[in-house]
Amino acid sequence: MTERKSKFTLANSLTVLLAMLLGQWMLAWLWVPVDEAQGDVYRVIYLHVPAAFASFLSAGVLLIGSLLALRSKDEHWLNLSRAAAEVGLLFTLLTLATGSIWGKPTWGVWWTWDARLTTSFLLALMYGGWILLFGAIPQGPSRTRSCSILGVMIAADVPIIYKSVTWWRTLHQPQTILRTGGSTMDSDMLCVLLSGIAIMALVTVNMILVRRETLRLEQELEEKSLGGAS
Amino acid sequence: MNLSPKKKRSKSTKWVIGISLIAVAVIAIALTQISSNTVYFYTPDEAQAKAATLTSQNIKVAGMVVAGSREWVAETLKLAFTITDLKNHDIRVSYNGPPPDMFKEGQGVVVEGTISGDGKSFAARTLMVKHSEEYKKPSTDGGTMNKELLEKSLFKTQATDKPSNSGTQP
Repeated sequence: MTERKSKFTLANSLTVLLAMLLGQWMLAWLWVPVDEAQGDVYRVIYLHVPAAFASFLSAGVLLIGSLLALRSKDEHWLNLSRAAAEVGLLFTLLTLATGSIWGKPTWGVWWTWDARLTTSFLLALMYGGWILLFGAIPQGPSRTRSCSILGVMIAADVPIIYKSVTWWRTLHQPQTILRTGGSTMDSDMLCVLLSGIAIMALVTVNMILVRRETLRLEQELEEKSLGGAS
Repeated sequence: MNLSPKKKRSKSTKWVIGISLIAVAVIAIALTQISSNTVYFYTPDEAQAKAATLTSQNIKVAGMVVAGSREWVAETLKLAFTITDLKNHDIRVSYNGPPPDMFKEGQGVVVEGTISGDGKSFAARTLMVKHSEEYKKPSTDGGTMNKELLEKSLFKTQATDKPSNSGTQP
């Protein structure tokens, strides 16, 4: 009974969160002023940056799932890792796509192999690799171990992506929000951007939990049907 | 039964240590290798210093577009402008095609192509505009771009050597 109730609220809260996200996009498209240098095209930032943070957050969840799985050797943590990898891949691809759409009119190119873009591309590859690895190894302790090790390595890419713009010369601009000397963004813009990041973070956690729950149910059903056959 | 969980724990601790060692090694290798062996772009002074060896290669150079240096011939789609590191290392860049919308004098650019042997001119195949991390409302007094941010991000190696005294050093 209690389980069903908790699932119900999880799905409900996703609806509420998506409505909030829609509201934030309305602000981003209609209320926030244009940027002096870039004009309207800079508004991609309100999707691009939240999506990027969401892909980082997914890697954080993947790290937690992987460490717990390695520690306890309990396979059920793989459900959390798998959910995080799938949601992470989605948001990394969204980040790359929106970045590319932003890059063409501002930089003049869709893509360039600078450190920020390359390490982000690597993140997408590794998320995809995790999903492939999970599918390639039969269920058992070796799958738990291999997937969890890859999970830790994926999480290690995130600080590299984040610091890439300060460690190396890149075409991508440096950090706007978290930097020494304060943010370089107008306060109205910053407000909408930060709320977008916060809402997207909640959406991410919610999506991961919903996906983990469906994976758990799938497993349970499989076990039950196997148990009934024998 | 009492022994196995203990054994398990010590084994998994080894795994965690092993993985973190690998992760640290990968990061360390990535950091040292990428920073020492490959640069995304050269600054004008680096490109000019190594022009003789770089001239046969496809390279990227970044700089600020010098005000008043832009020449655009619409009929032939030929664009020419000068980029500088603001320390008297100037390179004349030629490019075929219309510039990106964000291209203007005083803006930062990254050009990809080949440099001449003397380091004075550059034939660009790709022209990319580098914008700063600054976002602001349109002001009434026209363009008031914070150029310092852009310069810092373009020439960050020099910027970290000598912070905040751009005028005094030659």
